[in-house]
Amino acid sequence: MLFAVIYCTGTYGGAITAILFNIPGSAENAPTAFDGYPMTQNGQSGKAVGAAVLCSAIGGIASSLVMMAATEPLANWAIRNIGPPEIFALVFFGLAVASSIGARTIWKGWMSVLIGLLIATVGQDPVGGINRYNFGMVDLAAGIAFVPAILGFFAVSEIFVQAEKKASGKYKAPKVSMTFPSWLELWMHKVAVLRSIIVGFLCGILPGIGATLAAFMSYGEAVRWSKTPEEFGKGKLEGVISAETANNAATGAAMIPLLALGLPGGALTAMMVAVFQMHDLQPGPLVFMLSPDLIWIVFAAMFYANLSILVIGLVETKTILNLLKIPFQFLAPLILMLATTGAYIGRGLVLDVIVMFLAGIFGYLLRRSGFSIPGIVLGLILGKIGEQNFAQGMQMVHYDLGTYFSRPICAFLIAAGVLTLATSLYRAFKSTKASA
Amino acid sequence: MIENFLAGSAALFGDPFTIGIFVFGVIGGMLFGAIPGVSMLTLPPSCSPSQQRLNPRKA
Repeated sequence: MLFAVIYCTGTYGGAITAILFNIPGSAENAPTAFDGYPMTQNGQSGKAVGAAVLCSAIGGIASSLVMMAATEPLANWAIRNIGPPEIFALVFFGLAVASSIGARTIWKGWMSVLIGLLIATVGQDPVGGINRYNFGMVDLAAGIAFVPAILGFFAVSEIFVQAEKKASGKYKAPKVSMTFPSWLELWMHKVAVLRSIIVGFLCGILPGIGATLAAFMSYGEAVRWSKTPEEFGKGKLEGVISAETANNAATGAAMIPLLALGLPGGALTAMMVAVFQMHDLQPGPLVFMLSPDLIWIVFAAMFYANLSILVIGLVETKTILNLLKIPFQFLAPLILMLATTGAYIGRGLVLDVIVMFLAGIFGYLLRRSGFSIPGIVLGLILGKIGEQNFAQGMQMVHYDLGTYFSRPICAFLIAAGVLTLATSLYRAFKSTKASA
Repeated sequence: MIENFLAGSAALFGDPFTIGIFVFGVIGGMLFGAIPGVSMLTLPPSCSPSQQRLNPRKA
């Protein structure tokens, strides 16, 4: 029960720092920073944090309710129909959508995703265990960790950008806003909330995918369905709503394969398996028959934990927003210290701190040139997941690539990805012609 | 489903110790989730020794 509660509230917790300081607490909160931080800079921090609180709670509660009603049938469907080829296709589709987020031109958007994919190739390859781009360094054989890279690309590069503005006299302190989004504003985003719940839930139910991909996919879908995709990455409320609804919607869904089939979907659900085993219990279909009371306490706890996000979130938000009043000369070193500690603490490697600062410098230069930081981060995170699933999928289909297209879900997702790329290419040519 | 949910809720809020664990999880999750790099994944391993002593419902 304790771990299930931590899972729900911890997924929301990282949104606050992502919105206020461009420091996502964890990978699943990275898409929240894409639009949340620009909103803070535009003086809409209260609106962004309020939307994050409300949508995290809505996504989590909806997911808990579906989890209670449909754990068994949904788990059976997902396990029968979704395998590594489908997950690879989902990643391909996600990357295709990501290429249109936040860059100055379509080409820079594609380049940003490719840079992310290139960084994802550092370390051992998932099939043969061959070291790639580790330059003989043992620590790099495990690859570039997500957290230092994310901290560098978002937090450190942001400090460089703000420091440059400060030095040139263009710095404007973010305005503290206590205005929460109105019910009308939230109602206007009902479709985005509903779509994010579905995307988050479907991603969460797949073992090994979880809240991170859910948040990225949902953000990508928001961009794809929007009539004004160019506004994303510049402070659009829908961006925050989509990411935060989806990552919390994934938490309830992640419990389905765990409880119904004994398959953990991520690190925290794997720890839950350990707790079950500690008490001589085995999660899976039998646990519903042997200990139904235990399962329903977990379900109830997750429901109330999501409800608590709403209550505690709304109470504490106004206090937290006051952090923005700290002057930049004190805030910047504080953020750097926090980010450095965060980068180091994960694996205890100085290398991760170096990676964070290099990512910061690299990110700063790329931002100046109009490349998309969200695109790079998406490429990095989805690249690793995609490569691993592609390799597993190829082994599964005996290295016959054609089999990928004979699987309906896989073929549909690949076709949707290709269509997305073709559409963005068409738009780019059209706008080039119009401007010429 | 509703009866099961109500029974689960009653078990959750029927015991002050369970409520305490719930509140600890809510606040701890939010705090650890907000600290970059630390993440919510750090909290459960630090609770693991105490998990062995709790009964399965509370753990």
